[in-house]
Amino acid sequence: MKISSILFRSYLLSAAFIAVFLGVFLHLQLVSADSSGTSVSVVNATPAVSNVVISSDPITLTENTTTTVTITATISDGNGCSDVFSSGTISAVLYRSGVAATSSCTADDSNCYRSITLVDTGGTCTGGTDTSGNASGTVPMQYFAEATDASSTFPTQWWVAFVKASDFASASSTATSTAATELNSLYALNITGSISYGSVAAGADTGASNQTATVTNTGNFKIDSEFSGTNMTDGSNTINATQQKYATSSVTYASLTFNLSTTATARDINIVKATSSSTPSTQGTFWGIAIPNGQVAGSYTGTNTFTAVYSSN
Amino acid sequence: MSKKILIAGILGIAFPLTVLAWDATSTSFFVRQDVQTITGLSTSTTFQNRSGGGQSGFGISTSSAFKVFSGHLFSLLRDIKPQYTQIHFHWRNDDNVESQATSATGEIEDTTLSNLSKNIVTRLRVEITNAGGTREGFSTQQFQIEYGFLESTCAAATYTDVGIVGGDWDMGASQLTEGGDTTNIAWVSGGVTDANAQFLSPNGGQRETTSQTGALTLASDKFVELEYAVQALTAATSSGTYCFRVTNTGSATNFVYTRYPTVTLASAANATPVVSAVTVNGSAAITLTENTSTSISFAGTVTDTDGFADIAYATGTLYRSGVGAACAADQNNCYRLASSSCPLGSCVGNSCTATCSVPVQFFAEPTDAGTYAAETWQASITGVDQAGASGSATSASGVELNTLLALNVTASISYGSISPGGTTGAANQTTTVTNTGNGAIDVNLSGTDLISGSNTIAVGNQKYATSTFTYSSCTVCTALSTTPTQYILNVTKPTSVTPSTRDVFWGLSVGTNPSGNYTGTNTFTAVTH
Repeated sequence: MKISSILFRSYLLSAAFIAVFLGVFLHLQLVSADSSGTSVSVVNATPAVSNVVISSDPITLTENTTTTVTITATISDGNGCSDVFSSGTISAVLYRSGVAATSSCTADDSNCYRSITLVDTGGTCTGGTDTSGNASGTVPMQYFAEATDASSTFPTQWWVAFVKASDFASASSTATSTAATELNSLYALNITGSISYGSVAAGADTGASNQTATVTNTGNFKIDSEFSGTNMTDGSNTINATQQKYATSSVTYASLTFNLSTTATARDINIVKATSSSTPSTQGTFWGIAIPNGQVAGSYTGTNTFTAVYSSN
Repeated sequence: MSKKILIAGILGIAFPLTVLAWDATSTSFFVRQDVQTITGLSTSTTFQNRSGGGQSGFGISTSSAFKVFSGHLFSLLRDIKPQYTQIHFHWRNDDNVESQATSATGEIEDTTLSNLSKNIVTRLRVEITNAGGTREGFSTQQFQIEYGFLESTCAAATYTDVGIVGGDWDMGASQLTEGGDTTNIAWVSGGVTDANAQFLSPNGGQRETTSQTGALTLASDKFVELEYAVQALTAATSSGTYCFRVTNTGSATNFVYTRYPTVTLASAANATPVVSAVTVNGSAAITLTENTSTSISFAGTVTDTDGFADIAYATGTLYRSGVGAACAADQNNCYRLASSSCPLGSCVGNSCTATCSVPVQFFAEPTDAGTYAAETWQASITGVDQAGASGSATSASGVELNTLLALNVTASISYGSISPGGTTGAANQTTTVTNTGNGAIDVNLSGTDLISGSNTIAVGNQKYATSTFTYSSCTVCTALSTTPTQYILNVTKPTSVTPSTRDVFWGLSVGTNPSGNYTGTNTFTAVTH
């Protein structure tokens, strides 16, 4: 490019004094300069994503609450890692492999967690000529996220982390975790309410006045429950656990379905797993007791145990 | 020969007259004889032309009994004004006093003087007669001699007082006596034919210093002969013909010019023009302009003693002293100019200034240093006159033509699109360096970083060479720097308008740079090879 403005063209007068014998003459030499404008278009490099890892692996949830799962990835960009970490975005989708061929699943706490933001938490992208850095992000997985282990409904599936890195120019690339990260089955329950039979005369039972204990599925699979109980005691006096009866509907004592035992006995109560954190999956259990004749009056206490177990039907 | 007579009173009798003038107060004036012209004033109450064969009558008559008996008086008109008629002349040699000088025209009056040399005093005798009256507008006259260059006729000439110093004619010192009276000498001795009844004297008619007489009263029966000593000056036109006339101090009122004295000057020997004071570019060193021509002037004085009008044109040559004024045209060292490039101006007297202008090309050879440091640029001017004679001169001292180190870079350096971490590989960019001065040059190269916003590609990522190269494996490349660094290009001095060029090839590597358009500037400065 010929630049003819004064800024780019100058004439320089260089003077050299040449002494010749007694005379001194001024030698003027006109010198000119010219300039070429230089230009280059540095192409935008597409970011690269690698080493996508879900941790922990396998994923083990926590009943009735969320569990933090971490997704990490290595991000690189030929224009400098800052082109992504500072000027771009890194996002992830965590999903059960069966819900979508790619990351296009619909957000669902059971199987698809979207809009997970990954950042450079460790200062691994130093900027300048540094072309790569490690990105990580976390997602709170609900207790009812679908399990993929062998005993689950999706034994041939696994959980996948999909990571997308975009640079300043919106060029992007993606990668998914390569490990088949399993999410373990979680059989868990909560009991709400108490079983307080009140005052029952010896030789009498609670009749239609059932006590209610609500069982909530706090895991990620449909459950039954094992029931067992201790004898109720008051000092040295005892009321056998078998005096307690229970059912999944409220009926009179005589009609309650099951007698309690000190030995855990599974009952088919089929509490499905929750699908929303705002809508627990519950099942009520109704309890009654009969006091043998001659039972010494007193205040008897004991413990009934509910244990979540796999429900096969 | 005609004769003029005044008739007064009652008697006007037979004379062989051809011209008759009268001023009669007779109450019974008459004319008996043939006349060709009668002129006069009569208050006669019985004016008669009894036997005249007059052709015209000029005058006035109050006659109540006007008669023409046998003649042919065509008219009798009223005319009472004086009529100073320049009627005869005679060129005389200035070889004696007024009464004894000889004729310059073979003793024949009213004859053109031929082949008169300039600056030679000769004498002109002119006869003035009053062929009119004395009643209206009659006054004393100061007869002044004037000259004019012959146009189609002498009447059409523009006249100038000979007494004005300079011009083509001046009065000249002679054997006349300034202010002395002329005498009525015979025309064979250089006099003229009498054209009226009486010769006016005294008249103070001898003039050699002043061109006009004193106040003279020339009545209608009078004539006077005036003699002026005149000379053609150098400025007069050789071979030219001049006319003369007499006026009353410049006024021709009441003058009639029957004859004009004329003289033809000798054809002068042609003078050869002489050229002097040739200077080049105002004696200042010549500084050229890169890649184009620069108008350089040189000038000299052309003199021709035949007058500046004789200078036809001038030509010139501007040249490096080593090739000489007779050089063959070459835009490197010899510029030969046609007359159209050397117009004449400021012409005064015998001289004009010839100012030549020539577009000197940027590659003209310098003399301030280098091969021709011992030389200068000089000029020669040739003046040519109308006869084709010519004279020449060269500048007494030449001037230096300064070295011009200059270049043009015609191409930009556009590396195109490169991925981060990439290079231009074998795809070089080319800048063509053109020598636009008059010396062989190398270049000082420098550059700036390429910048896009706050992002920078270091200037050192650019490499250059005089041949194409692959960036990653180049062994002949030089990394560009912000510091001007001499690079041996040897772009030879052009010898014509055909450019002298060399190419410089460029490559670039891009590091971990954000995408964007990066720009910078590489600077090429001409330096002596």
